[in-house]
Amino acid sequence: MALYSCLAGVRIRRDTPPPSMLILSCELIAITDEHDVSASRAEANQLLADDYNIPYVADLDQALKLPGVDIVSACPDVERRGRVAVQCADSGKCLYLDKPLAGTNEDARAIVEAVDRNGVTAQMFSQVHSSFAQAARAAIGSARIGELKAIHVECIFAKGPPGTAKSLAPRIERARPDRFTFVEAKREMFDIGVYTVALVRWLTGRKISTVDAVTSNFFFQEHDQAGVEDFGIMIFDLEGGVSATIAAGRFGWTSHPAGGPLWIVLVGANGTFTFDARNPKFERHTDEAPFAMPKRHSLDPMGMWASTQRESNVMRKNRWQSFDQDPPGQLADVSAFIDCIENDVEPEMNVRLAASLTEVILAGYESAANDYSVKLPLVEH
Amino acid sequence: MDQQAVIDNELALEMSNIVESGRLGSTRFIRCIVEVRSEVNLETVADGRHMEFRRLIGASPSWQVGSGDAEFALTGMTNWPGGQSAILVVSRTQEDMKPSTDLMIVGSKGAAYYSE
Repeated sequence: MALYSCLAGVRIRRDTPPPSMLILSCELIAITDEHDVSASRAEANQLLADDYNIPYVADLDQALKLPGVDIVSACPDVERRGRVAVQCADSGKCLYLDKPLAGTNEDARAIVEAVDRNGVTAQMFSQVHSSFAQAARAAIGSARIGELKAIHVECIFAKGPPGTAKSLAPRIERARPDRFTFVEAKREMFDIGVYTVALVRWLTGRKISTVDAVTSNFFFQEHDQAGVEDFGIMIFDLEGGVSATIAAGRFGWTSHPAGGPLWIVLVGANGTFTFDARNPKFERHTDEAPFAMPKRHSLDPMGMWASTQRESNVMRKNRWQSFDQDPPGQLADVSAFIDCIENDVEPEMNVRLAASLTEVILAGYESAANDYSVKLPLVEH
Repeated sequence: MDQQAVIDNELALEMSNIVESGRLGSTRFIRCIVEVRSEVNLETVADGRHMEFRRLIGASPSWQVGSGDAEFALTGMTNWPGGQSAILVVSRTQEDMKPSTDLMIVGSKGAAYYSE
């Protein structure tokens, strides 16, 4: 098998480029970022490089000229994704992109154009290669389900300290969110919701024509202070009369016996079929200490990063033992990306499909802000 | 009253008990997937579940969106003035399968799950 070199992009606070890339056919060469990042970001980048015992090249221009670089695993702040991805594509590198693709339709379109212009392989991380999603896809393609009528997808992370929000008053959504990056919080319908919208689009192969959304709930003080949603729900009309619903976000460490609900419900002419990433499983009841709420990490109270979870000594939830050791399908996703490069095949979650997800979620924010249905494609204001 | 109606009534009572106990904190979100047999009217089931949700939240919705068709599946999203929300899917069982309900009630401090 060909040996690909891999230039890792930057994940904040020492979080890693996908380790699975290391055990496939890639060699991690360096960590890099734009030359003008903040001192704290540069420090985090250096820590990540130290973790992997590789250099931190503090100038993306220079890093892209390093010999042997074939892939960029790019995960900068959402606000910088368009600029960074375009630069990497224009330098001829294949792109493994963090989700969501971008925070604006303009940035998403720019990435699509750059990937097309340069003919590079580009894939956004998603759950479409996970076992439960693959099983759902196979079922849709079979006669078992019959004509698809409706789909529900749910992905809620059981992380963060619930019940800390000071107010239960409904938050006011902004029709055009202009900030996605905070130290202690994320826009959860954007960040987690993209998984669910991706599954709806990928499973059905149908475009979404109408979006209605609600993002008005608070569980977490950190989200309250940052003005972002804990979770969001959306209902879609799809081409061909199929309806879809999604629920996605974050609801607290102790709100689920495992990592949180992660499942797909397909309604066909022949009945209703469920595909649960946590099933089949063993449920264990032993004399081991039950899961306890971890200590609050000042840089990561929501438990977003593996590194800070290690520092907070977050207990492993062990009551449910799923048969699937990788429910979100991270390893399968990286493997599929490498296969696409080797075989010169378009990734399933290519940038064109990924860009459409950004548009859907932005339509969701407009709907949630105004309590009305939003038709796609979005009209730019 | 048939067996399913008895189960539904008991479920509604238990839902109220869980919410009123306060252990979940303030109810913020309800997700309910109901599978019924082909002879059951989907709209009747959906109306009944929406009534239960209203009782749990204690208010009339501010916004409700529905989709689907009465033959195979009805889907709905509801929003209340206090920011609470719900998703309801009422659909058909597979042939020879029992009717079922899968329910998640999410509160500000935790969640409760029901599956039959």
